[in-house]
Amino acid sequence: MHEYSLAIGLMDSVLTAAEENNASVVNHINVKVGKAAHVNPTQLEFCLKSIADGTIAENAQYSFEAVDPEIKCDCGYAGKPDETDDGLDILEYIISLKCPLCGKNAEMAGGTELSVESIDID
Amino acid sequence: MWNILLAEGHIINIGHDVFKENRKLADKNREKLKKEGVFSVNIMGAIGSGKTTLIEEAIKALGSKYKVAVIAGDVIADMDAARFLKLGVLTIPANTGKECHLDAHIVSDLLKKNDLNSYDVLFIENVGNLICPTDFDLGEDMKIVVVSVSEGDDIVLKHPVIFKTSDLAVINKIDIAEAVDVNPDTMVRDVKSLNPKIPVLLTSKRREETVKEWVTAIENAMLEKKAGKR
Repeated sequence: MHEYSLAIGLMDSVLTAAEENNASVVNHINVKVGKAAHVNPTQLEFCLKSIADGTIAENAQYSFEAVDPEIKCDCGYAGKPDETDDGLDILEYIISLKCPLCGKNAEMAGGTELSVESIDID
Repeated sequence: MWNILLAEGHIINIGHDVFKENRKLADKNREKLKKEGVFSVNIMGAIGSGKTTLIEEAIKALGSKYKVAVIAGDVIADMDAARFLKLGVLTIPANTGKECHLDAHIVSDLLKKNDLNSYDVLFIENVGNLICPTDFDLGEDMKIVVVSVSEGDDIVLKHPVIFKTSDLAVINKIDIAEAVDVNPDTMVRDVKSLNPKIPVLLTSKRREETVKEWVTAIENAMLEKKAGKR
């Protein structure tokens, strides 16, 4: 829903880093998206492309890496949740976050990142 | 060999997190409010769930004991702001325009323009939305999510993140639950299944005792914070 304003921030960091490294073109943009952030990568890519239009990043390819949140459980466990099915949508995913030790639905921590991890430039 | 490397370009690591930028600014807001001794509450919730009405009730009850300020956030904030102004509290409208949520930047600007030094409580009414505000920390002390029975009893499970990340959940308009064929207890059970630790209040403006519970929950949280327990 707010992908456009987020995309402006991301593209800004792409173009700043590209400029600082004297790039003539940005080939690839690698984005990390936390699974607990309300960000839809397909919409985000659409926004990023439209913002990049007319810049050295206009023909860039994108890859999106999904990041699991960590969980904190009453049983003392803190870390990655039990494995979930990749096919779940965000709603099913969050509900299905379980502690790998005791199987309880545990408190969520993190998984809300949204960052440009790296870019590939010429 | 060089040709291949050049053709593939080179990788620059950035690691710039746009949400982290917001969180950094939110931490600054939190620090500023703490210094000024202001307890801040971010009230999020569905459109038409009764956020404004609940804040009005809290102002009526707390306004005589404490100095209260309100940030009225909405796409067009003037209508809600007018309701708060009538109650004689410092009212700061925050028009978000096209944005579906308040962010730390908007709040930071408003805190610069308005001196809250002598205030006890700041209510921040977020834009009616159960999704977007969840991603944006404002620097508040307490996050409250408000839904009402008229949104249907599946509204809770449809929006798990906001219930997992809030400090208090309110299910409002329980006086009309029967008319809209909703059992509020189902909604409470759903909230608890997502977040076993979160307190849940059932409220209605028409049931005085529930309004009292709502006001007490905020007042207690404020007093605990001021006593350094939160």
